[in-house]
Amino acid sequence: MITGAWALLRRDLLLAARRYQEMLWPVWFALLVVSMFPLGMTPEPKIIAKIAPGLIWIATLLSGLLTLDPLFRSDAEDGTLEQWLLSDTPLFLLSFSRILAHWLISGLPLLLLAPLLGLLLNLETPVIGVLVVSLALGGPLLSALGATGAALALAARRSGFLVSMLVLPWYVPLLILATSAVTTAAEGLPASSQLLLLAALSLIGLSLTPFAVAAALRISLSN
Amino acid sequence: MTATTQQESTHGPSSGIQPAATGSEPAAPGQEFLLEATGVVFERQLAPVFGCVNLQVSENETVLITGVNGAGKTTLLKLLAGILRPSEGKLKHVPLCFVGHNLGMKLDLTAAENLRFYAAMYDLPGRDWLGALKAFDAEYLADKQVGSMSAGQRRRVALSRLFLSQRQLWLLDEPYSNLDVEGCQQVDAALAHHANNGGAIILAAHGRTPKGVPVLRELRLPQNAPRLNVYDEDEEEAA
Repeated sequence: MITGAWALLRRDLLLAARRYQEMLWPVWFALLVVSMFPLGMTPEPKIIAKIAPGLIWIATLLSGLLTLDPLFRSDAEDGTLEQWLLSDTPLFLLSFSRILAHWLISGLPLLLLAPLLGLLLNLETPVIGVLVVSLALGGPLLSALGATGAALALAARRSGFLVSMLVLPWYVPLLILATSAVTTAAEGLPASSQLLLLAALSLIGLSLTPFAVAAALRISLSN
Repeated sequence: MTATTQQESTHGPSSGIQPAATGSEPAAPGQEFLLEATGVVFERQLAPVFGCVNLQVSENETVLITGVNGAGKTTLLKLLAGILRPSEGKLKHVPLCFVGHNLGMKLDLTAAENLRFYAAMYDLPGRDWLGALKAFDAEYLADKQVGSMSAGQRRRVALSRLFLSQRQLWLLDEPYSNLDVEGCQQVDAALAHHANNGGAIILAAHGRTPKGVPVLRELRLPQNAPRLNVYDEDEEEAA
């Protein structure tokens, strides 16, 4: 059972490595948004440091959205998704693999880039630490929720718009919680309660969404 | 006028889809079938694509689904495979291997990488994928990216999944398409080998009938199968 899920994860990473330009594009997008923002607003370091947590999180979120539409589409078009249904591996395990692969491909590079973005926006080192932890805890949930939206919208053609409409409301609580953690840390207060809540949400999301993705894929394929 | 009313569609094809068993013995009571469809109906946009499907397939049997373009051969195969959900009826089958129009091969990966992935998906890691390729004379393609192969070569690689899967029931959609004469003969040989060794095959094909398989039944989808679009195409164009 696990063999199939593990093989899918390895195959997804191999495919991402073969098409690394596509993989780098969301990271590049986030970097552009974050570096352009101060130029368009104000070069005042204090103001920039104040808006930095929200800015980095919004950039992460939007760059993640860019990668959602193709998440299942290419597999649906070349017939691989049909084979998922006929394999010996349960569909929810394959869905979990795909969520994990999405996070490794589009979430992890941004997580690694976050300290640099924090420095760029004049964040203090302890605050950067909280930012990285918030991205590490919230990133997998972004992928899990995004995959659910992408699977639901699969039956519709040109579903990029639909996916973003579906997924953005689910992202809002996550965004509020994560940025509040970083802002609290910037004010010198402990952010552990927000981070723990974020961790709990991530665990619940990661354990439940694979089933939702599997059900959505079944519905999308049976049309 | 190409409009088809829903009323016609509900009763029109039901008799036509009953398998016309030629040369197969009636199954003994209590016999285990590899695939058993009882009263299966599939609807799209509330209109049945074809009538009620009743089909039993046992070991060493080959069912050939024929019909004109658009009769619903692919839809029927996907329905029997369990990819599409029947609106009504019962469908039971053993684990199967399905090779459809969309081959399920990643263009950026080599044949070997694709097949190793499928071996893991069938829970058979370490399975001899090279042997499976050899059955279709495609072992020389092992390290070639599928994206740089011709359509016929891609089909050979996809067909080798049949042997890789070790499944007793094969479902094939137009297995001969894009293949040269030699390739078609290899498909015939593979089908005959499988059907002679306790396997069962359901395939959709037009133009070529598999040769050498022991029990071949034909299931002809009716020509007047209800159309998916129930509106008049001419009227739509005029609008």
